[in-house]
Order: sequence, then C-alpha cells, then structure tokens
Amino acid sequence: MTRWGMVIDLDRCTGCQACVVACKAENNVPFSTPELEVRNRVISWMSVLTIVEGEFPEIKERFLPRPCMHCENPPCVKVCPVGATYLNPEGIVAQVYTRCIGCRYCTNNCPYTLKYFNYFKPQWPKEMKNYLNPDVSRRQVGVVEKCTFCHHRLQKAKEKARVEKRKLREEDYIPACVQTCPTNALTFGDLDNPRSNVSRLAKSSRAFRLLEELGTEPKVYYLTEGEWHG
Amino acid sequence: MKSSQKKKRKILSLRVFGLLTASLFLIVILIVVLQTLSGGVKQPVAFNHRIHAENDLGCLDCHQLYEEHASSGKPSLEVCSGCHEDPLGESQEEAKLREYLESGKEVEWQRLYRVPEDVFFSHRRHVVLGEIECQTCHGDIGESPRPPKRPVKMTMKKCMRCHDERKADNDCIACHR
Ligand code: HEC
Ligand code: HEC
Ligand code: HEC
Ligand code: HEC
Ligand code: HEC
Repeated sequence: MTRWGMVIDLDRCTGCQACVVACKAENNVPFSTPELEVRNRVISWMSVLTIVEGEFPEIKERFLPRPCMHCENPPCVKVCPVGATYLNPEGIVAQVYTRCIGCRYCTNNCPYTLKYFNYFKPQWPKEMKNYLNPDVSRRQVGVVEKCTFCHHRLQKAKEKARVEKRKLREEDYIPACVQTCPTNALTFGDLDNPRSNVSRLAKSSRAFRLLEELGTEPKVYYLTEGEWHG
Repeated sequence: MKSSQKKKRKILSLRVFGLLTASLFLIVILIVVLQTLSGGVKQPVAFNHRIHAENDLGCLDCHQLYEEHASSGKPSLEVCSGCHEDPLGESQEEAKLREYLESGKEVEWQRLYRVPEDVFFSHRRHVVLGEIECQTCHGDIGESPRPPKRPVKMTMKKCMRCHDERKADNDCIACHR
C-alpha cells in the first residue's frame, strides 16, 4: 500500500514562509488580512509557528511549519457526523466540501488546530480572478477546509502515469510547499516504501512527531538535533 | 336536517373539491413550465450534429481536445469556415453562422454538460484510457438534428455505478477536490 507522508527538517527551516505562500496560491486560499487576524479567522493550510526563546536582546527564534498532520488515527474523523472527513486508503485525511455541513466538530477536535472553518465567503482582489488554480475548487462559506497534501496533483499524476503506461512514481506527486522550499527542509513521499527518502528520514534518530503521546500517529515527521521542546 | 340543505352542502363540497383540483392542476403546470424555462439552454446557432456526421465529420474534428485533455472543447470558427466559406444551403441557421464568419466574432456556445466546480472529470481518462464511447454519457447528441433543450444529467450515482462495474476508483476524493 501507499501511505503519503512528509518530513520537515527544522534545522533547515529558515522561517521564510515560502511554503505558506505557495500553499495559498496553489489551493485558492484567500489572503489573510489584519481584520481576519484580529478576529482569529485566518485560513492558512500551511502555517509557520514562531517560537521565541530568551530575553531581548538575547533571543533565539525557532520555526515550526505545520501542514495537516494527516494522522493515521485522526481525531477529526471520529467526530464528523456526516462522513465528510475521512482517512482515505492512501493515508490522506480528506475533506469532501460538498458533504460538509459546517458543524465544526472536527476543527474543535483537532489537537493541532489545523482545520479551518470558512466564516466568510472567500474573496480575492479583482485582479486575481484569472489567477486562481482551476484544479482546486473554491470553498463555500460555512464549510471546513484543510491541507490535502495537494491531492489534486495526485489526481492528475495518476492519469499521466496511466497514459504513459507505467506505475506512479514517487516524484510524480509532490505538494506545492515541498516543491517550493528553498532549503529543502520539506520531503514528501510514500512512508510504506522502505527505500523512499521520507521513510528513511522518519526512522532517523532526529525524528519526532507533534503531540505523539496522544496516539494520533501523525504522518508528518519533524527532524531536529537534540531534544525537542515546543 | 332538510334534504335541500343536504343537497346544498353536497354541491358546496363538490365546488370546493373542484376548485382545489383545478388550482392543484394549475400549480403543477406552472412548475413544469418554470422547470423547462429555467433548465433549458438555447444555443446562438441551432447546430445540427446529424448533418455533419453524415458529411463524415468525426467528433474529434470539432471537439479536438479529448484525446489529451480533461475537457473536450468546442470548435472555433476556423473549423466551420473550412466548409461554410460560401453558403452550402438555404437554412436560416447557416445564415446566422455566416454572420459570425463575416464578423469574425466567435460563437458563444452555451455549456450543456457540466459537473460542479469541485468535481474532477477527465475526458482523456474515460475516452482514451477507459475506452468509453461518447454516447454512453452524452446519449445521441452526436446524431441529433438539433441541440438538446437540456442535457442528460450526470449524477454522482451514474458515475459511481459505472465505476463499480468497471472497478474504477470510487474513493470520494478521486472525484471531489
Ligand atoms: C461540425 C462540428 C461538430 C462535430 C463533427 C461534432 N460536434 Fe458536438 N458540438 C459541436 C458544436 C458547435 C456544439 C455546440 C452546440 C450544441 O450544443 O449543439 C457541440 C456540442 C456538443 C456537446 C455538448 C457540449 C456541452 O456544451 O456540454 C456534446 C456532448 C457533443 N457535441 C458531442 C459530440 C459527439 C459525441 C460527436 C461525434 C459523434 C460530435 N459532438 C461531433 C460541433 C460538432
Ligand atoms: C465538412 C464540411 C463542414 C464543416 C467543417 C462544417 N459544416 Fe456545417 N454544414 C455542412 C453541410 C454539408 C451542411 C448542409 C447544408 C445544407 O444542405 O443545408 C451544413 C449545415 C450547417 C448548418 C445548417 C443546419 C440546418 O439545420 O440546416 C449549420 C447551422 C452549420 N452547418 C453549422 C456549422 C458549424 C457551427 C460548424 C463549425 C463548428 C460547421 N457547420 C462546420 C458542412 C460542414
Ligand atoms: C464517462 C462519461 C463521458 C464520456 C464517455 C464522454 N463525456 Fe463528454 N462530458 C462528460 C461530463 C461529465 C462532462 C462535463 C464536464 C465538466 O463539466 O467539466 C462532459 C462535457 C463534454 C463537453 C463540453 C465541455 C468540454 O469538455 O468542452 C463536450 C464537448 C463533450 N463532453 C464531448 C464529448 C465527446 C466528443 C466524447 C467522446 C469522444 C465524450 N464527451 C465522452 C462525460 C462524458
Ligand atoms: C460508463 C462508465 C463510467 C462513467 C459513467 C464514469 N466513469 Fe469515471 N472512470 C471509468 C473508468 C473505466 C475509469 C478508469 C479509466 C482507466 O482505465 O484509467 C474511470 C476513472 C475515473 C477517474 C480516475 C480515478 C482514479 O483512479 O484516479 C475519475 C476521477 C473519474 N473516473 C471521474 C468520473 C466522474 C466525475 C464521473 C461522472 C461525471 C465518471 N467518472 C463517470 C468509467 C466511468
Ligand atoms: C466517480 C466520481 C464521484 C465519487 C467517487 C464521489 N462523488 Fe460525489 N459527486 C460526484 C458528481 C459528478 C457530483 C455532482 C452531480 C450530482 O450532484 O449528483 C457529486 C456530488 C456530490 C455531493 C453534492 C450533491 C448532493 O446531492 O448534494 C455530495 C454531498 C457528494 N458528492 C459527496 C460524496 C461523498 C461523501 C463521496 C464518497 C463516499 C463521493 N461524493 C464520491 C462524483 C463523485
């Protein structure tokens, strides 16, 4: 089987936010605005948390990029009353927007707070009209959305592989954030393939996962030297 | 109770019954008419598929994208001008087409078939890889003398039933995105 997963090397992350921008552009996620920020209504499927240590001016900043963890044991799926969110056979935690009734149980049950509710109708500046990605739908107001590992890229990659009469290769499918990262801090692939980069890195002694003690079994792994203290 | 009173009451109830049926009937007709009006599509030129099929034009001559793309595409005026440079017949519809040809303005064909924005559908996947005939999904539009007033509806049920039969992927996000 295939189990898509990601490894994020925190020692390589410079906090540049390129992944955040790439994700928004790729997935038709509207811009954040100061008003939305104040009201805590910003949608950002990939977000970089900044952790500041020490006292000014002796500070040290650490960055934590966070896409959906695509848990093997997803708490959000357990509470969805309508089956709009589920773990797909390839390990992607999916959200079927037309099926979602907007109850927000899932957003509240996500321990990583990485599911987002559309409080408002998504809007873009007029000039952006022709720049939206036709491969991704615009979400309606009142539904929950989340990182899909750019699953629409997988839909197309599968067709391409079929046309070329071959199996899907790992490099055929790569999410926008991973493709963009200038320091190669992000790696994507099949965790079930023992020869893949992700599965090797996930076994590294530097590897850990967020809130592992909850038993959610995230498929996003982090790497860092020494002890992680978030 | 007097019998005349009884009779009156009976007539009254008959009248009420008649009135109710009549208004129900009207409402039903209204709904049907409204539905036809709202769901219908009128093309700028009443294109005749049959004539062109009889003139040995294959679907690919006009819908040129489906072998390599998700969409099939509509023909541009360039395709039509090959034959309609000079009038071929006396039909009014052809005259309309020739107006477009003379002005060089593309015909704005209305869309008939459409899946919602969040559904991924690829013609290449179905026609080339799945080897499915156009007819299976579009009925006899390819041989019909005039554009259908309304398209055959593509429901999720139809997609999923065939996927079941043909062992194609029926995972929700194979289609939804
Ligand atoms: C001479 C060019 C020509 C040929 C050949 C042709 N078509 Fe068309 N087709 C058109 C035009 C023009 C339209 C738009 C007007 C209409 O809807 O009738 C159209 C519309 C359609 C539509 C509806 C598209 C929509 O908007 O959803 C379908 C389906 C279709 N054609 C299928 C076929 C099939 C199947 C064949 C082959 C059997 C075929 N066509 C051959 C020109 C052509
Ligand atoms: C291979 C040549 C050919 C091409 C290409 C072609 N047509 Fe025609 N078309 C014909 C012929 C032949 C007739 C029949 C003329 C007649 O006898 O009235 C016809 C008739 C028509 C008519 C009149 C139909 C009727 O109901 O009488 C229309 C409208 C029309 N064509 C539109 C188009 C459009 C739009 C295109 C481009 C998408 C197109 N045709 C491309 C050959 C062609
Ligand atoms: C498995 C079902 C299926 C088959 C087979 C199929 N279609 Fe379609 N077709 C659809 C659906 C569904 C849509 C609406 C797609 C959308 O909204 O993106 C569509 C839309 C279209 C359109 C209008 C939109 C566009 O893509 O440009 C045309 C033209 C068309 N089909 C022509 C064809 C022709 C020609 C064939 C055969 C070569 C064919 N179709 C075979 C299901 C099918
Ligand atoms: C008549 C049968 C039929 C109908 C109707 C049909 N499909 Fe398919 N579909 C297939 C087949 C067969 C395949 C596999 C093609 C191949 O061999 O690659 C397929 C593949 C697909 C795939 C790719 C799945 C994957 O493995 O990634 C998608 C997406 C899809 N169809 C969407 C749709 C949608 C949306 C509709 C309805 C609008 C639809 N299909 C209607 C037969 C059908
Ligand atoms: C083979 C392709 C395909 C698959 C697989 C599929 N859908 Fe759909 N779905 C469609 C199409 C096409 C439509 C739009 C046509 C319609 O409304 O029937 C649709 C519409 C919907 C709608 C809105 C229509 C309504 O009735 O309100 C919902 C909700 C939905 N799908 C949920 C799901 C869920 C949940 C799954 C997984 C169990 C799923 N779909 C799997 C193709 C698919």
